Amino acid sequence: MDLQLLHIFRNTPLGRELMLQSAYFCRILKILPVIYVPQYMKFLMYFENDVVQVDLDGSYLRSPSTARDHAAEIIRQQGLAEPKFLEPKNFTASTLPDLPINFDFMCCPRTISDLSSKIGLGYIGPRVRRIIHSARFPVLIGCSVYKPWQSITVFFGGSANAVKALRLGFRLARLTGFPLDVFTQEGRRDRKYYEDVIEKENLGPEMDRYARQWRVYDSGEFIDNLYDVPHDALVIAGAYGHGVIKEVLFGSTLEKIQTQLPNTLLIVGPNYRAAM
Amino acid sequence: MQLDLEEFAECLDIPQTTVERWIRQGRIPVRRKGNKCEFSQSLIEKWAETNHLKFVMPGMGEETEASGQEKEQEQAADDLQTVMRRGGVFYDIEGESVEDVLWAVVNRVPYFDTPEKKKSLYESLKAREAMMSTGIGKGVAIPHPRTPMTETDGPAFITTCFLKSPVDYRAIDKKPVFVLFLLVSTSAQLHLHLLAQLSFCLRNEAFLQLLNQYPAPEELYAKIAELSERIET
Amino acid sequence: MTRFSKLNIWRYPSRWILFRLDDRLLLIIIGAIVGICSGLAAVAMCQGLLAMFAWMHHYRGIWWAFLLPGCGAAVAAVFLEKILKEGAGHGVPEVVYSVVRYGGLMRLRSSFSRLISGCLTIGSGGSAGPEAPVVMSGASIGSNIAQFFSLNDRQRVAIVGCGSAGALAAIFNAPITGLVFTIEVIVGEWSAVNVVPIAIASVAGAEVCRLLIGNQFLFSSLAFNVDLLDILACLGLAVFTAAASVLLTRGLRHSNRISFKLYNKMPMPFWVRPFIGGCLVGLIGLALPEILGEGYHVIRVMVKGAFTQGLLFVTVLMLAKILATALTLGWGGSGGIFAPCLAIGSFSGLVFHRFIDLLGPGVGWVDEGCFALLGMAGLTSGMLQAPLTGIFLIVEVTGGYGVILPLILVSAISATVTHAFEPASFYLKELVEKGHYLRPRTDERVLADLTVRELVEKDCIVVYKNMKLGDFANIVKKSHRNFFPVEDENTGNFVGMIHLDDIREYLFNPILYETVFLEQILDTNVATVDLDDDLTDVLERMDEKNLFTMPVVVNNRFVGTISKATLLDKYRSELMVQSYY
Repeated sequence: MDLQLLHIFRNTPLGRELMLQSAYFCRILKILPVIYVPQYMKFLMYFENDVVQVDLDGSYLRSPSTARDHAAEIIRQQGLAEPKFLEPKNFTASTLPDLPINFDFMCCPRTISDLSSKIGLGYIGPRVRRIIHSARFPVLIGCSVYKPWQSITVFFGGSANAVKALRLGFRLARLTGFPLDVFTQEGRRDRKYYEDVIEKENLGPEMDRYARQWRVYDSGEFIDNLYDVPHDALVIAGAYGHGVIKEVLFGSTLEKIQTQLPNTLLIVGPNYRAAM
Repeated sequence: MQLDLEEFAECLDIPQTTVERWIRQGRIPVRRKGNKCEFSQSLIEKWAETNHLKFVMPGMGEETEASGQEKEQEQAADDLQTVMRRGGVFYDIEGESVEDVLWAVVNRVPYFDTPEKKKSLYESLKAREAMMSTGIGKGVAIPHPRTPMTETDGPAFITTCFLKSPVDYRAIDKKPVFVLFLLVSTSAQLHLHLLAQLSFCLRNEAFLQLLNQYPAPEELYAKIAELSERIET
Repeated sequence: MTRFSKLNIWRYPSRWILFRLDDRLLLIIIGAIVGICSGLAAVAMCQGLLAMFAWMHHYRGIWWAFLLPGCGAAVAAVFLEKILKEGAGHGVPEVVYSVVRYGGLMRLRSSFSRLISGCLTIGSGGSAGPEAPVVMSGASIGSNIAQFFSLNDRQRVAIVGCGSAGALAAIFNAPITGLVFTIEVIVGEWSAVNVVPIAIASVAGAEVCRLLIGNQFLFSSLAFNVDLLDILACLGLAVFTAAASVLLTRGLRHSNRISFKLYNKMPMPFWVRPFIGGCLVGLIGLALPEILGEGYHVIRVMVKGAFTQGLLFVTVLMLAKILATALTLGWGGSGGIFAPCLAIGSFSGLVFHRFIDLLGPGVGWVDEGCFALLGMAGLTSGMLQAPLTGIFLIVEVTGGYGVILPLILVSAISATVTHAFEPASFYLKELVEKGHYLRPRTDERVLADLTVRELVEKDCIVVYKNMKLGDFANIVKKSHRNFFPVEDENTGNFVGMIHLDDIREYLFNPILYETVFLEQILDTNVATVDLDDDLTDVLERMDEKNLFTMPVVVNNRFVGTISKATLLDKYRSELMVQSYY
């Protein structure tokens, strides 16, 4: 119960759906939800080598009087202990609180600073992207309606970040007991290459134990193959963009995934480090 | 040179969170690459030295672990039976007074081979008796040096000595003493440990009866072994 | 992976072999780059202000000109709040805060936000200075360059210092001031590792200024001939400027409070507050145009000794300038305190000169320009409580090395006297109040860096509340600690602690072994610590209750214990590690 998940609560029906997903995630994995009910329009997160200012969408400040009760109610419905509410201790300016970053997960909607009307497939807001890029915790991106997931799907493309994503997938599979599927799209490399990576990272035994199946596609478009991802799966993928625009865009695979899949995503950023 | 963050933290014997913070704050000459630490060994050793920390490479660390195991084995070897075997059993010790008896015993113990060593052990034993008699009653005494003989090279031992004729040992129950267990240990902790085990045995009636029959060494050891097992459970 | 990191190697200079062993060279090179960039920012601010003045000049004569400062301040506030979404404030405390708490991490938007809002506020006539905005921009430029090169906290702090030093050096054409101010106020520590790159950045910034604007003193002064009597008079001046500093500090605070009270009472958009403040300044400016803007022009006249008005008028001017500054900055305008300090300082120097002239008309006092100059030093040192900055600034902007003796005297005394009334300087007051003023190698610094997470000891034996005392006695035999956390065996929740000292008498009573359960003897009223608590608080609580150990409990689960003994151990090694560089 040492693990903690940060959730920025939005006191609207949309925010409720996301809170439900956080609560479900926390219950399944026995994580303590830490809820921040915003009192100001913006907040800062000081990461290791970057500081991200999040200017919240106005709906986050709606009806502050009921926000805490609503959030606590959802948490209790999931049978979790009393929620922990985050009170920012430090302020960069009088209306600009700093949120701590020593969490193990964070739950974000697809966009946090733009109007919620933009929320849809294929759009992840710039602030959320920057959080994913700088954070050492994976970011849970909920879908618009709460749907308890019953299996886990990991996208494994052989890169260092994909290995981290796979490890995280194994960990969640172990904790939840849910079946795990691994997806790999063969690009320029063949199956042997991916097996070598697994071998080298010493993931073979875990692969055998937890993975229900490892689908390696050697034909077809990646996007078409995504239809095979179970509809009730939690999708785990690594985010690693290359080159000059790496702060702006994720790797092309993740961009395709987030455009096509309506599932709940758990994205592992380039600075992710496994919790101790 | 590269190490995992976790391994590296272990090398310095410092929590991983602290190491991560030091790297982030630039207080330690190490660069982080994902979960790996990259550093120059000589630089980090110098750094550790100026900061009163110890940096032990993982390979070297096993050595200390091994010595730890050895120590454990040594500890295990210090069970009562072994210690008594080391000291040996002697019969028909002559002497009219406590001092005479003690001197006779000192002359039979192992490891104290030179006259100087014998003398110092004897003085120490006498000093302990002067404080208060080690006769614990029922005809048994457990003489031991006033302070653990840390300077001896030998291990701890217990020498069992049956007297030719019982001696007035100023014991608590005023009964003359017919058997001595001379206990020499290397540390206070071991001393207490052995003393506790020995007194457990001496509380046992069957053991006392056995002592009264002046048993042969193997017979005695067997009984001790049997009783020791009972202590463990 | 390697292919890409090879491409990006220039973004990780700390991995280059050249800089691996010692990063000083790296810091110097980056420092120079940062100095040039922040110097350019400062020059841009200067030119922007000049342009604004030139443009505004046409409207000065019109009756509604008093609205201009209001509009300027309001537009600046809207710009900061709505477009860049950054809080108001003059910037320096924010720089110090980020240096202290987050190793100088700053947002990119800070690197230009204050330049523009400062330009709008000051250019339209608000009484504020361009230095703080420039310092903030320079610091932010430095921080972002450091982030780009993935430097660590220690290096980043040095580079942030470089940025602020370069900016200040450029705007005053005063390299030493840039260096001294940065070390004294922003970084707070003299160490060779810091000083060298910051000095280089100062030089680079000043050089940029000299190339683009020209090498001249901001306020050139005459040569003064200071007598012994003048030096004695300086003692009086020092006290006088200290009084002015205290007045200005309190004026700023009160006007800020009043404006917030008004703001909270009446529903109005946030920009109305700076608008009202600006308009009030504009109204004063109708009568006394000298107080508008940063006031360099008036200072120049005074330093030359060409200011003709009498004692009363100058006193009114001084008070008006204090009021105008309080109204501009206290009501949410954007700008710094440096320039108003200089202006108020020279006014107060003049006031004092007129006053002693009245007392002893026959005495051949030194020229009033000299007193204006000394007044400036007194006020800057008093306000910033940084005497060195005051001394070097005045020497450099006036070229008045000849008056260095009274200058040092006034600066030192003024800073001391002000300190007696206002223990923390205007810049740092808020930080000190909130406990964010942590200087390197101080107790607060070490305690702020260590976290409960790092100190928690997990080798504690947990016992259960339905355990018999006899079983507990057996556990006690094996443990080397004298306190035991008690959990509920069903829920796993922490219920309390057992301290051996409290139960010693029962522990040796075998009759109780089978009849007493731990639930009956445990102490449920224990103070606990959360993993995220501040160590300073934890220590305070320990001292209060005379505790040496406290259990760490998160969400009703026992995590470990924290003890003063381990704290001392870690504290020492932390202090040592912090002093290594």
